Amino acid sequence: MISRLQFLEDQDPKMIFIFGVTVVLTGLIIFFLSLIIISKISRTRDRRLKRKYWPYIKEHLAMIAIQSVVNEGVKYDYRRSLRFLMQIRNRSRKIAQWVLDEIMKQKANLTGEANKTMLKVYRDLNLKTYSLRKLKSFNSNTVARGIYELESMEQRDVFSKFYKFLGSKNTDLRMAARLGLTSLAPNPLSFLDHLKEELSEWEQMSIYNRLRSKHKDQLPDFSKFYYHEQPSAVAFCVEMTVRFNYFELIPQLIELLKTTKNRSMVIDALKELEAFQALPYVKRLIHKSNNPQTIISCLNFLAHIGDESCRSIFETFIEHKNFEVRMAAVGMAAKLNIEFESSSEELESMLLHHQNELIS
Amino acid sequence: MEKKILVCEDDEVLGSMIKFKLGKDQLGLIESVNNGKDAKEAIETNDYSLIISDIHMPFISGLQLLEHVRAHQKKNTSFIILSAEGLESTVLEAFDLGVTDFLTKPFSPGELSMRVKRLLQAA
Repeated sequence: MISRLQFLEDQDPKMIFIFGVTVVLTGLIIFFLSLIIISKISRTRDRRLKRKYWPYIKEHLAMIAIQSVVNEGVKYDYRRSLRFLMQIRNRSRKIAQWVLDEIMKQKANLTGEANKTMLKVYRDLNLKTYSLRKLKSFNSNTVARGIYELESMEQRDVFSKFYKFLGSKNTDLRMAARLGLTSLAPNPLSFLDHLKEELSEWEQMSIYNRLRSKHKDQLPDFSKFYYHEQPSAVAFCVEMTVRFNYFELIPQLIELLKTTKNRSMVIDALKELEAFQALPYVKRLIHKSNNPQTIISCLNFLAHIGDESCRSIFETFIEHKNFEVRMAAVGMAAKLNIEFESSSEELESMLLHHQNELIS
Repeated sequence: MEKKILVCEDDEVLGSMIKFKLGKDQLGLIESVNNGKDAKEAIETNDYSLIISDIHMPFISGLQLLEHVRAHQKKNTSFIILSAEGLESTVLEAFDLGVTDFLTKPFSPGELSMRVKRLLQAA
């Protein structure tokens, strides 16, 4: 060893450096080549396994599904199929994943008995263990996948395991946890208590779709989040109040109107809910506000709910410096049949526009 | 004469289940294919009373298949589209092309069977 080092000491340092680089590069090439070969072998093995087992997986699941929709005249042994699927499930995790993916796909395609049967197969094959194992992975995408599987297969008892992922650094995982909780937690919006970031429009839509599939008794009290620190969460809950026609939350919305920065959004919601109780508040607010958007929302609200007594409001805002506000004021007058003499060309064309809109 | 029904569904499990359910309910002679190309060939050589097709299929989509059926004057053939997406634009396009019925996944095979029965009776 000493003689070898002495040999190196005698060499030109440049040569030693080149020698070192060559060794490292050769090592790297061997390492990457091994990786490529291993992944190729693994892929070939997977392909071979899939060719071998895939037709049987489909055949047995098809028979199980058929049996569930055709109650009589089918002499088919569910336990035989289950035994077969169990055997091949135990051969490799990959096969278990294929079975799981196919079950999820069929469950998503079908309703009624066939849907329930797919849940039963998932339960009987104990595939939940495979989904739960994914939650322990270091890979965020694998964890997100596990959450998605548990959510799709309606495993309500595991929802509490999702909370710890709400603070993950991975955006997809945080979103999967929020959506999973929306579907499975008894309080679907409980994740909002932990929300520190903006809810994207896509996420809001996905949450709404999940809420739509729930019975009204399972829907949350949206007003609980009207004072959330995240404006997107407040906007979402106000929007949901309207979408699910929560007329009983009108007093809370009126209360919110007094404090919120986004009054326009609340007034629009009150308009959609036809909240005549809010009329005095809106009439007061329109004179106090300097925000054109709030004024426009108030005018639209009054056009929808107001009456002839709104003439003075019209007279005030028809002279407003903002064009959009003047336009909304004329719109209100047209809708409430407030008669006025048009004094300018602009007013004339605005009136014509609104009258045409009302006719159409 | 027994009415002929073609089921075009690339998902074999779903396809075989639909075929079995319609056959069990004795709605006609059921044939099935799992891609658009085979469906087109089957349509050219057979006269079907009803075609049930998934919207997303290999080679030729359900909408293209519908267009082909209507272009070849098979106006009497009822056509049901199955789709996982209930997008308004897709539904409108399907009706514009002359679809008879549109079923969004997830669906109940029992409901599909009822719709098929009603369409065949009306034809």
